[in-house]
Amino acid sequence: MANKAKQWTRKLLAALAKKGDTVSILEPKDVFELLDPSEFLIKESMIAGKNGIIVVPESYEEMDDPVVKAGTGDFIKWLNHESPNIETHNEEERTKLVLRSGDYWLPLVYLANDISLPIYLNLVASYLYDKARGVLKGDATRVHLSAVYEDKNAGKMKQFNFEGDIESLQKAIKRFDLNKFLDD
Amino acid sequence: MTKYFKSEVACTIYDTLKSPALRVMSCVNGLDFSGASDAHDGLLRKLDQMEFANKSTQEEYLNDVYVLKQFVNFISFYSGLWESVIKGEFSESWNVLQNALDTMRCIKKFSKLDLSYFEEQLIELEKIYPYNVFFSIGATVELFECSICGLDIDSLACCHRKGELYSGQMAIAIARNISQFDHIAMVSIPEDKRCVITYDNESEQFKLIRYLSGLVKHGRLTISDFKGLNFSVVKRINPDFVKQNRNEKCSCGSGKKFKKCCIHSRYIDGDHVDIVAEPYCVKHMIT
Repeated sequence: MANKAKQWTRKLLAALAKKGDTVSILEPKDVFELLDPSEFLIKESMIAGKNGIIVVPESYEEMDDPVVKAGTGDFIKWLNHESPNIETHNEEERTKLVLRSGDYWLPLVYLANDISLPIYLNLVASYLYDKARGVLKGDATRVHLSAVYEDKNAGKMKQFNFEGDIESLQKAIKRFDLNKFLDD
Repeated sequence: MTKYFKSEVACTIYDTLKSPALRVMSCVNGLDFSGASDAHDGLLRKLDQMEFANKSTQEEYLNDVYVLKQFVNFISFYSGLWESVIKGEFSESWNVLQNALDTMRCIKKFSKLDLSYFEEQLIELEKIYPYNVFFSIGATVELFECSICGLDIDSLACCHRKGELYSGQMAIAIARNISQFDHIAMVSIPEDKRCVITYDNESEQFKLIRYLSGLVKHGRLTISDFKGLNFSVVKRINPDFVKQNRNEKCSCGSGKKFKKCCIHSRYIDGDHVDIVAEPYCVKHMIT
């Protein structure tokens, strides 16, 4: 049954593609990567003198001004409520990017010196558990997140990207070797 | 008294709702949907009476009442779902099924009510439908207004979080000033499973749910006994297979000898689904 539905969908996609439109089915896939971020991503003025978690607006398509993911405000509110000792910085008036898949899209953040990546990932995991209250058996709770931090040893910025479910995130946190990470 | 809710009063109300709720279930199981509708009206009246008699303004109680209303809605969706299935309104029944599942998520989030029987049954029922690819929009929005205080729900000035309960009201984020609709994505995990390509109720895509509907309609399966589906692959006779001599040219047109070509294609793999039934007493559906 499921295979047939896929076949019909592929026929539909082929028909749409003939019209010149680009179409594809977005299948969930897990991502766990560490990159050198674009040098233009984080402006010095955005992070100078700040502690904690700083939301970084992102450029999107042809929008003139950078935007933030629609879940940003909720995530920041949750952080302020659950961990009031952690500073958060978010430009609330930014345009929100709504991606209505069932996934959680967390904002791109810059982690100041007082917040390590493992601490941030643990906060995200707690947030996801909170969001997952009421999920039914078989409901998938997936998250997309990106965090930039300054690797003091290397003297440069690093960007951590993750896409996956809560279990994969927990495994990633356990696997995470902070010292090795900082040595990279 | 069952302790499914934070407030004692809500627990008492729930206990008085169980009996009329089971009456609805009994009618649904007997395919008496008109009786189910009447019984549901009785359930609704009972809840109204109980709510009227308890004028508490305590946050916990008001939130529990919200959940009790969702419970009553769930009973209605469950009844409506099976009515649509029995009537052959399969396309419509998908939306009612999603309503039932969403209501169940809300109940599970805010109470300890045990709806595990329904959860298991409806998740299995969902698999019988031909939908596994959904549509999902991408847009940019200037502001999300809080349905409770009217402030920007993403700002710290608003003390509500989307999807949480506050004195019996759920905070909803209302999109204001949608600046750009820029794409529609096809995804396997959508926010809203109602966004699908719809099919006619007579279409081949609903073959499986039509079969289930027939079983229930003709008394070969009762609704409460429907437990799930068992998917497997079975060998079936290939209708295109033509028996030939081994050294003859194969009739498929490949130009090869039959023994080098279609000789082993007498049977082909085919998808097979068993409907799994297990006797279940209606009175245990709601505990």
